[in-house]
Amino acid sequence: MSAQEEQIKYLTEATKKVKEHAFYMKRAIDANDLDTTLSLAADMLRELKTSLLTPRNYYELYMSVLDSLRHVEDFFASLNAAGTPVVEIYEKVQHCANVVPRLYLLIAVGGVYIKSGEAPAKDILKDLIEMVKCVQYPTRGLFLRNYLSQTSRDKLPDTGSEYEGVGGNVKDAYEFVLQNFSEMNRLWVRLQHMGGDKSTRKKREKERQDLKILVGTNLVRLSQLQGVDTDCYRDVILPEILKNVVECKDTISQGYLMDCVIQVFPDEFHLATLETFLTTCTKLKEKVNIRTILQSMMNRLSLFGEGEGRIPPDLDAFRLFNDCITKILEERSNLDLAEILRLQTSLMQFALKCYPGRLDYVNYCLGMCASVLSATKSESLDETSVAEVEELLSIPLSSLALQVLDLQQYSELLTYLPYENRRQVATILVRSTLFSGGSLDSVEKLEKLFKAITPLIKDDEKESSGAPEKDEADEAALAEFKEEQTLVARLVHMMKSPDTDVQFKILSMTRKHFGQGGVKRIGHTLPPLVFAGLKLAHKVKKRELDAVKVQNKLKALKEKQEKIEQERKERQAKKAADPEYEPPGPLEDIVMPDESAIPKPPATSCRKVFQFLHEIVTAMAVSYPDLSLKLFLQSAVAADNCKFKAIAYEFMSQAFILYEDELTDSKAQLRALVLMVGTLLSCSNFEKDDYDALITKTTQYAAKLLKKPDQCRMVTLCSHLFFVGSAEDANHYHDPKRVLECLQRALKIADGCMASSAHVHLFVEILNHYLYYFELHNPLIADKYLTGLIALINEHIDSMDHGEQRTEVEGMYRNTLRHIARKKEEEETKEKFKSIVV
Amino acid sequence: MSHRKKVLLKIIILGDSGVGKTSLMNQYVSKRFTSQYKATIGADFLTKEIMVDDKLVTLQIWDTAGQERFQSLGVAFYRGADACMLTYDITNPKSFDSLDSWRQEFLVQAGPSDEDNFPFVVLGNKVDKEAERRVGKSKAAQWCKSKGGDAPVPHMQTSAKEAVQVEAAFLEAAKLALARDTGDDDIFIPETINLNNQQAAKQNGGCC
Ligand SMILES: Nc1nc2c(ncn2[C@@H]2O[C@H](COP(=O)(O)OP(=O)(O)OP(=O)(O)O)[C@@H](O)[C@H]2O)c(=O)[nH]1
Ligand SMILES: [Mg+2]
Repeated sequence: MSAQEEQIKYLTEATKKVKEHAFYMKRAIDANDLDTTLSLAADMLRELKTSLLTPRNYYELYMSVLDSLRHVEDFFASLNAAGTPVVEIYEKVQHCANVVPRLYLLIAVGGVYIKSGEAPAKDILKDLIEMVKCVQYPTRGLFLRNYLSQTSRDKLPDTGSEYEGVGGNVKDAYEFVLQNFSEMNRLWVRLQHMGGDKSTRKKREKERQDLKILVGTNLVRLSQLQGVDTDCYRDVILPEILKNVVECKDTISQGYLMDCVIQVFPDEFHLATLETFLTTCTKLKEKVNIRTILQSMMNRLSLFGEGEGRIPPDLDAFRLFNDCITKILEERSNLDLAEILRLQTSLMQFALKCYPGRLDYVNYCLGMCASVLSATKSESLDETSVAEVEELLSIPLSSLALQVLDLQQYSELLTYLPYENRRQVATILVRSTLFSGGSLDSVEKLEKLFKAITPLIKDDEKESSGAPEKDEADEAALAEFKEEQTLVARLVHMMKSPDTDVQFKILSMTRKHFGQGGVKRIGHTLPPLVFAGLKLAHKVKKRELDAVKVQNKLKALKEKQEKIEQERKERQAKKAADPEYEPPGPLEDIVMPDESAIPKPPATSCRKVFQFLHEIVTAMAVSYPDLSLKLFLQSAVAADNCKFKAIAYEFMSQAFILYEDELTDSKAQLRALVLMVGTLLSCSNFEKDDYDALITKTTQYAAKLLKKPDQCRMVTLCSHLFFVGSAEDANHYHDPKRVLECLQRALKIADGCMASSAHVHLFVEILNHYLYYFELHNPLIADKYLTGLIALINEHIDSMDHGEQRTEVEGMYRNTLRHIARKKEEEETKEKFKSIVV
Repeated sequence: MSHRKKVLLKIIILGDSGVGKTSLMNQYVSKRFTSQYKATIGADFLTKEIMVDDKLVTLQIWDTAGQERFQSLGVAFYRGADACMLTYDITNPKSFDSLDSWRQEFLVQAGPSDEDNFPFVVLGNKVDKEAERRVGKSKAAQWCKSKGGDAPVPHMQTSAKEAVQVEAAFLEAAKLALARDTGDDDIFIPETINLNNQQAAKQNGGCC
């Protein structure tokens, strides 16, 4: 039979016996027979004498005994109610021959005795606590005392209780509980030393771990006493508990009881006794894990600090914890590096929660770690310590974000981490910076930030690269890389100095850093920088224009001032010549604005910003032609807006070069062309020759597209490049002949698409463009073209196969014809449309 | 049970640490409340006598530790329970999610005969903090319906702090426990009369 089976067998048998005795005992109770009841109860209780059961199984047995013992208690109470003095029963029970049953029964009677008021509670309690001393076998003693504790729970002469007064006072109450606690702890510790070899020692430890709550329950009792106030706790209760803790010199007991004290007593008590508690921590056995005890206390206090309570300002909790940690570090040689780091990390966490403004505390903890790390001899840290440093550096980020960079020690600690871990910390730093929502408005701030997040910005010089290689493409790594770079890119949105000169410096230095990132990173990081540059260009332009305006105003003022001065001199001369002279009126006094109030022109010119943009986009052009082409076009529009014709033209040319040299995919070409036409249409300041050159080129590209329908549509679209603005516009551009050429060319291409029967669709589209120009009075788009085209469509549409394609074309065509019909009716257009034959 | 004068009911309060089990019991038994948190270790009962439909009933109310490390001896005290109060904190969704496992653990360890109809009462405590409520009433009601046997598990919204529905909750548990067929009270039934107990049997003979 295995040990476990044996246990179960034994427990089952014992429980059965308990039930059996209880059965007859209840009969005796019903028969009101005290003697038989007592003897049967004793039989039942004798089962608790066993030393064969493990604590958990003993607890099971104990519970079923207690269930039945309840009836005995009730019986005693009912006898008492019927007139039997409890003292009589009490004395009778004394005669029970067996120690364990006798003591259980005495406690049961004792409870009724206290309730009866026949004797003072304190005397009975003293009597009981003396008597239970004779059970010295740990498990039996612990459970017996637990029964005593449970039975006396609501019968202590606590302040406000019905037993206070004659029954004693709170002092009697807590002395009773403290004594029971002290004895139980002793029994519990003794279990450890009941002999045996190594394997029994392990078993003993397990048993002790199971039994611990019986000891801890006494502390709960103390915390429940109404009469124990803060003073009493500080002066009597805690010192007495701690005395037991220290003196028992037992690792398990010390660790457990310190944990209980923290959990069982309220925050207010802890705040009043923190120093005592922490001093005791330094006196515990070496093997007790003090860190978890301190952490538990700090957690409890910081929850209190976050909630309704406040840590009193005169209590320097940080210092107290720190002193304790310092002392432990001094005295304990067995602490490894990781454990030291953990201690400091939890202290820092406490500071962050309870002293949010005290960055010096955080810096201090970081500094302690830095000095410990610098003292370690080994070249590189072990894995656990690395993880701890990473944790240490990650924790303050969520509340401090960028502020960590003001902490001297922070950056230094970063250097202890390998590239990979620094990258992790950097990612959290960027994330919390973004989340904090502040602005990155100085070069210094950014220099610090970039230094801290170097692993995200560029590859490691020594080791592997942060960017995963394409061919070994681990998808997760790629996704992570992409996510990181997107985060870095988002930092650009936070760069917003109100001063355009500072902003330019910020963007320039950012570009320098990003530029080192290699091909894979710049695709993510440079585009937002371009957009920031474009925004800046716009602002600088405005500043320049404002400066010019102000200068002009100043000049006018100065001229006026000079004129008045002249007049004054003339009047003085007149007065000198003729004392009778009366000036026609007083002269105006011109006050020139204060030098410092005059807005200055920007140090960085708008032109320079465009130059900057040109450099960035050129840098990424070959690797990202598609994207760069777009950015060149965006820049062109912006430059045109600022009236920099030549610069705009240069951007366009760069876009064209990219188109010719790098864009090979036909879909990309089509997309690019649409953008190019759009860009050209929204620019309005090109020199005429430049414009001619650009649009001719664009139309040529259109005609060379791979697919016929694409060609046709793009050439049609290009026709619009030759007919921009209305005739009244100063910079309109009308070349009717080229418009017609484009459309005719498009028709010809459409005609070649007969095979795919896309041609009818294209015809209708082109018809619409003809109509557009006809209505705009393009002189070369004559009615005859329209009539001809309509006839052509009529002819081809009939030969189309029935189906979706045809229905769609017919719908579109019908709309077009309806439009023409309407124009034929309307008063203003009637005449013009008359000649079109439908 | 007719031969016993008093009816004793064992009620167990279960739930995560901090939901207010001790506070509910103290409010019910001693009409006291404190905002201080004092962890419970192990399991402990208080008794209270009440009248339920003209019957004198002694409630043995077991307050238990929500923190697992304070329950090292196991849960032998579940055995023989007549009702169980599953408690959560309406401001703490995690404590509500835990009800499932508390209930399951209780059923496994206590092993009542008709699991589906064992008297449970669900308490959503701390309703005085209505503004911070994070467990919806309907969600809780739905859970109670899904766990109920013939009828949904009764669900009460309580406040130990302001004594809201505390009396009613314990009364409900007591009533359900009384209404239940207590068939699984494992009473010892003697098969043979053994020598040791012959004397006792003779003396008390004829009462059952
Ligand atoms: N506002 C409010 N607070 C309550 C209420 N009930 C309990 N509390 C508070 O919640 C905290 C925990 O209450 P306890 O009764 O100790 O919780 P418990 O469930 O016994 O916890 P454990 O013993 O650890 O399992 C204490 O600070 C109580 O003051 C309530 O109804 N309203
Ligand atoms: Mg509790």
